[in-house]
Parts: sequence; structure tokens; C-alpha cells
Amino acid sequence: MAELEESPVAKGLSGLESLISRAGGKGKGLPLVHKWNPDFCGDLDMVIKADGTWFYMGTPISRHALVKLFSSVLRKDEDGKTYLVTPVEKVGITVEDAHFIIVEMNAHEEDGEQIITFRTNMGDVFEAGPENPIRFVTVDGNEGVKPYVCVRDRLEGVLARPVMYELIAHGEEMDVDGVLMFAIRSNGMTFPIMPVEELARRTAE
Amino acid sequence: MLSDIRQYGFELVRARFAASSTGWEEQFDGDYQLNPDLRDVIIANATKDAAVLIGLVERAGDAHVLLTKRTEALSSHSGQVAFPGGKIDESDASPEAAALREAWEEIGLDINEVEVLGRLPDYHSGSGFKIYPVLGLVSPDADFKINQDEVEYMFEVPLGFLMDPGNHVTASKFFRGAHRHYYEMPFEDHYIWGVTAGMIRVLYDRVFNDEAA
Repeated sequence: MAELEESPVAKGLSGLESLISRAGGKGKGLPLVHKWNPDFCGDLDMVIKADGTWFYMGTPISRHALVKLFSSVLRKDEDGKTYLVTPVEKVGITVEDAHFIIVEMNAHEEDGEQIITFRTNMGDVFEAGPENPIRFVTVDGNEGVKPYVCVRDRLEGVLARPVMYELIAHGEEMDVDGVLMFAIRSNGMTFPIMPVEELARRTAE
Repeated sequence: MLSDIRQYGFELVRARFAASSTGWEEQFDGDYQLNPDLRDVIIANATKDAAVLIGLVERAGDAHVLLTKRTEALSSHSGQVAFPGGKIDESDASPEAAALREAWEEIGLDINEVEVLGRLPDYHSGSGFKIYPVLGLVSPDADFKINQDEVEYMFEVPLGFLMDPGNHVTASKFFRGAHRHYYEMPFEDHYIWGVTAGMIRVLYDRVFNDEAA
């Protein structure tokens, strides 16, 4: 395992795992990655694939608990790159599409106001709203429209296809600057998706 | 450095505003000027009506803009530099009335000391407000009385400083789930930025930009 000794995380995955475990502290909340400012230690051959699986050196990481631990120290910086951050290490990783997959959603009403709750593939549960906006990206080809939602800080989740269709079922039409837009409301915020006409065309394709 | 800035007397302000203010009823501006990707979401969420007074006062023949530093206790835009203003109440007859009422409540400016010139295009803020900016000329004899609950202090900035695009700096930071761009116009110890700087930029773009005229 000579290559591991040269890698920034000298002890490999297990070393990183124990380090993060210690750094996570005793509390229940997520590690305070935004408060840590270690030196950059180089890039790690770790990839979050478009389908949400994590790969290390070309091999999927099968232990979900380990992936979940790594996901708790994800940080995306101003440079647009994503890192795993501990108090003493900062290693770059590759993200093919989004950091998380949104695997489940729920819509309920509070005081007549719709609230959309999302769950990520790592078990994070949060409500869409002012601090967790939904944005919609149009893609060419047969994918049509892809919704992303801010999970925390600069970390985003992409909605799995069935979740996207469920979300659209909770949308409504509204006028935005003279254009009839399809939009989702949650927590008092309105997130316009795209003109009704265009959405009909794209979701039909 | 301040001696280099252009001087704007009230006659010039009147002339520039009269020459520029046509067809604005159908137009608007907003924080999306620097954030085109957020345009739809900003417009769709700018639902709370508010009005501000862009008050100009002539000092030695040179127009100055009245600005306040809001107290930390306020619920929105607390601690920030702002024009006098706030939410439009149902009892306000018009955005102009709301702007003048707020100016009276916040800085004790008597409505009789203000000559309303008109409005700038509506301004949609990323913080959820549809703001009606009212441009007014304030008598140099006007008295002010600061309401300490809402305003920490007020100050005046030469209009020429704010209408110099060289003093308009674009900056950005990540907040509320998006990378957001905004203007900064630091003046002496005062940090003018965000929505207020955005409306100052509109005043420049629509009224005082020589190239647009």
C-alpha cells in the first residue's frame, strides 16, 4: 500500500475515519466544518457519483456508515471545489453532480402554508425555504428539468426522478413578470421552476 | 479626494429627473441586476410592499443624500445603512405618503419640508420587499429628530460621490443558499451596500448616467 502512504491521508480511509470520529465530538449536531481552517493536503481519489454512490480509488465504498461519516465533513468552498475537512486536514474530492441525492419528500400544511420536507440519502432531513432554496436547472436531452436544493451551506442535493415528479405534483401556476410560471411554495418562499408551457413540453418528452 | 467629485445643485437634479422619468410605471429594477439567475425567484418573492425616501438636501449648492444607520433591534435589515422608509401600511394613501410617514417617524422630517419629485422604478429586493423609492428635495432648514428605537444615527453623502460609478464596487458572498452579488459604496466610515446601494445604482442608471442620457 505504498500509494496510500504517499496520499494526503497517510493512513488511508481508516485513518480518516477515526480522525473524523474523534473530531465529530460528543454532540449530536454536525461537525463545525466551516470553523476549521486546516491547510490543503491535496486531492483524494474519492468521487461522489451522479447516482450518489461514493467511490474510493475506483471502488465503491460499501459501508454506509462510513459514507455517512464522510458526508458529515463535506464542505464546498468559494473556489467551487468540494473538500472533506477535519480540524487538521483538508482534502479535495470529486463530485460528479450533487453532494446528496434527495430520496424522499413530504408536503404538509401549517397555518395554510405549504411546507416541503426533504430527506437525503445520508439521512439529513430539512425543510425547503429561505435558507434552503430549490433551484431548477434545465438540461437538454431526455432529462428535461433537474431540481436541486440547498442542503446546508454550499452543499446541494439533486432530487431523484420519482421525488421530482412528486414535487411537481405539489406545484402551482403563478404570474411572474407577466409570464405564467410553474412554481413550488414552501415555508413562505416561492420557487419558480419555468414557464408552464416549457415545463409541459419538457416533462412530456 | 472629495473635492474632485461633481457637484449637483437642485436645479440640475430637477432637470435630470424631468428629462429621464418617463414610462417608469411599467418598469422595475431589483437585486437581480447583478444576479440574473435569481431573477424569477426574487420577483416571485418580493411581495411585501415598502417605500423609502431618497431625500436630497442642498448644502452650499451641492445635493447630499440623507441616509440612516438602522438599529440592531429592527426585524429587517437591522444594523444596515438605509434610506428612511419601511413597510407600507394599509392606512398609507400612497407609497409617497408611506415614505414621508416613515421619514417623520424615523428622523423627524416634517412633510412640509419635502418637495416630492417623483418615484424611481419599483425595486425588488432579495429580502422579499417590493420597494417604491420616492425621490424628494428636502429644505436646508429642515430639522431632524432621530428616533433612537429605529435609527442609530443619520448622515449625509454628497450626491456626486454616489453618482460616480467609480465608487460602485461589486462584491459577492454566499448567503440564503445562493451566491449573491451586490454593490458596495463605502463612504468614510459608512458601509453602504446591498439593497440601498442597489437603489442608488438605479438612480445612477436611470437618471444621472451621462452615457444613458
